[in-house]
Amino acid sequence: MWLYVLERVLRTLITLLLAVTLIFFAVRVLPGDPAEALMGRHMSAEGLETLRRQMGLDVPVWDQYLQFLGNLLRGDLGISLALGQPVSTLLWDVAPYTAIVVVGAMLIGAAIGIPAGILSAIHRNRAIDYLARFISLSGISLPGFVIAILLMLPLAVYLGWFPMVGGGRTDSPASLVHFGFLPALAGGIGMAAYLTRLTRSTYLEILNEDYIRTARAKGLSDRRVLYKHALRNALIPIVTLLGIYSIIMIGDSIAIEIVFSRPGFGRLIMGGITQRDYVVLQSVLLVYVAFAAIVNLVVDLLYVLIDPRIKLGRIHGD
Amino acid sequence: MASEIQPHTADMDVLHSEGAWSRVLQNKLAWVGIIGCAIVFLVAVIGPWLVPHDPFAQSMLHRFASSNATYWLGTDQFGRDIFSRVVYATRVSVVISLVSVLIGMALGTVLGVIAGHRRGWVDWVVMELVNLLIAFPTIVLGILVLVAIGGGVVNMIIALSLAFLPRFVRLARAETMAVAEKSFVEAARASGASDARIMFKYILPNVIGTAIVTAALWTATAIRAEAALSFLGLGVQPPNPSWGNLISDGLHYILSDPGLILYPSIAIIVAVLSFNMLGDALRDYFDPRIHER
Repeated sequence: MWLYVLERVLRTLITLLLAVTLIFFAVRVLPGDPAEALMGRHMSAEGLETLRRQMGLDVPVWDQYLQFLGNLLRGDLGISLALGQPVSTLLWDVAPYTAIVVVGAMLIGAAIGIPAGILSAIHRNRAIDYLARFISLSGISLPGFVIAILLMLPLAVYLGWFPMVGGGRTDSPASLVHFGFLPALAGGIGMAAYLTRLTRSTYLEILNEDYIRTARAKGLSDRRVLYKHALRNALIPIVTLLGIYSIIMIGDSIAIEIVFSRPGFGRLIMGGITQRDYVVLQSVLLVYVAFAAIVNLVVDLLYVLIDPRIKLGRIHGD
Repeated sequence: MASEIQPHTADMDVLHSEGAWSRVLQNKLAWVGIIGCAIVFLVAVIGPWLVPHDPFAQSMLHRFASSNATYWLGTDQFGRDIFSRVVYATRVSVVISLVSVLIGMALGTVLGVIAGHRRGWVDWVVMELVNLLIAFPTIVLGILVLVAIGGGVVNMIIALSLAFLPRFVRLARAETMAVAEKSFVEAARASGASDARIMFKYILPNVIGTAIVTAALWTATAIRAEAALSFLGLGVQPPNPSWGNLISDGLHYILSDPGLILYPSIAIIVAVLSFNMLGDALRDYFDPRIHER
């Protein structure tokens, strides 16, 4: 068991190292010079050279890479090329804006999706089941940013209940929630759709299990069987898979943030691309990959903890 | 509610029956999916030849026209016909999504079969690559690849193929390892068939079915990913229209002209929903273990 945990942690670290390497070099293939992007083409050649030296761009890429890895091990992500601030400060500054979208979407998704999935499974092949299945199929067919625009149009543009753009003030939770509600709802609708489908199929599988038959055979009421015995067992895989879906959610959140012009990781990425700010770009991509790796690791370990028969080789969400 | 002693109620019957009704509805859903996909294909293939206007032709006299007899869905900020652009974008978006899933499926399945059959270091290398690619959320991998190689149709296909490749490798590898135990593979080996022959004559036909069934669902994901990446400005570059960059363009005029956003959005929804319905139906049909998901 501990050997498995150790092996799994090591594998995650190897994958992360490979991913970091891929990100570092892929980002530097980006055509254009950060010094030039920052100062424009009118700067003198000597000036550009000085700037390059300050940015650490004058040494060979290979040395830059080793330096980057060394700094990373010490938890130092470097200094933004375009803004001159430590990247970790930039990340922490906007993290609440992205967190409220992702966490909000997960909560909304769970609050709608899990009950809907259970209802759908219990009333299988009845009207309510078909309705839930059709709505959830439509929900997974809408990209997050399209849902975001379709929500923005009536609720922000026409009715004016919610702000169209911006992220609110970090010092006021009420303002954060007011600005974050529509983006979180946009992600949450997709999440609810995924979770309805997942909950439904998990529940249906469990209702076929022997212990449910036993419970029923010994004369327990339907309500007791459906809501107590089945629910408790269904919740374990559902909550675990919620983690996997959070990986899909952080990917979706990028475009949703752009729709609402929110400050956040999405804007940092887009800014990093236009300003050729390799350092910011690689750091944000790194955060996403690290998040996904940790979630995958935790989910895998939880699974083994819950059901020791399961080992390795599960297919994860996108 | 039924009395406490009664263990078997009508509700339970429905729960366990695979009634004719459910089959019919299942089939209906499948047909809606098939017809939807057929329409999307048709629009993608012949649509651009039949459109009323050149999707690239600008007309400063007809900017932001609303729906009328000439411009069915109105015009955009350059006076280009929205209907023609959405139809043309269908070709762009569908080609990117479909081709990238097909490439991912073909390469991924072959790699998966080889890895699952040969095991050893080949397996190790392939699985390291798979683990690396799968470590990225689809959109994030797309951003990384497009940042490195630039946007455009061909580069979008490369980026998305890389995202789908590892999924098909895992699928094919697992199937291969299951098939390898079967007696017909043993028999082929005993009769002296070469490794390549065993892999491509005996194992591949048994693996490809699952891959094709899964491909429909991944196509739906591909359309969404393509839309998101083009929306972010990293994918298909204007003036070449794709559903994603049409929406991105339209977002600037959301207050005055929401149609610019709505029509491409509807196109995305119809396409993704059709592929999802088809994929769901195919999976239910071919996967007897889990009837519905």
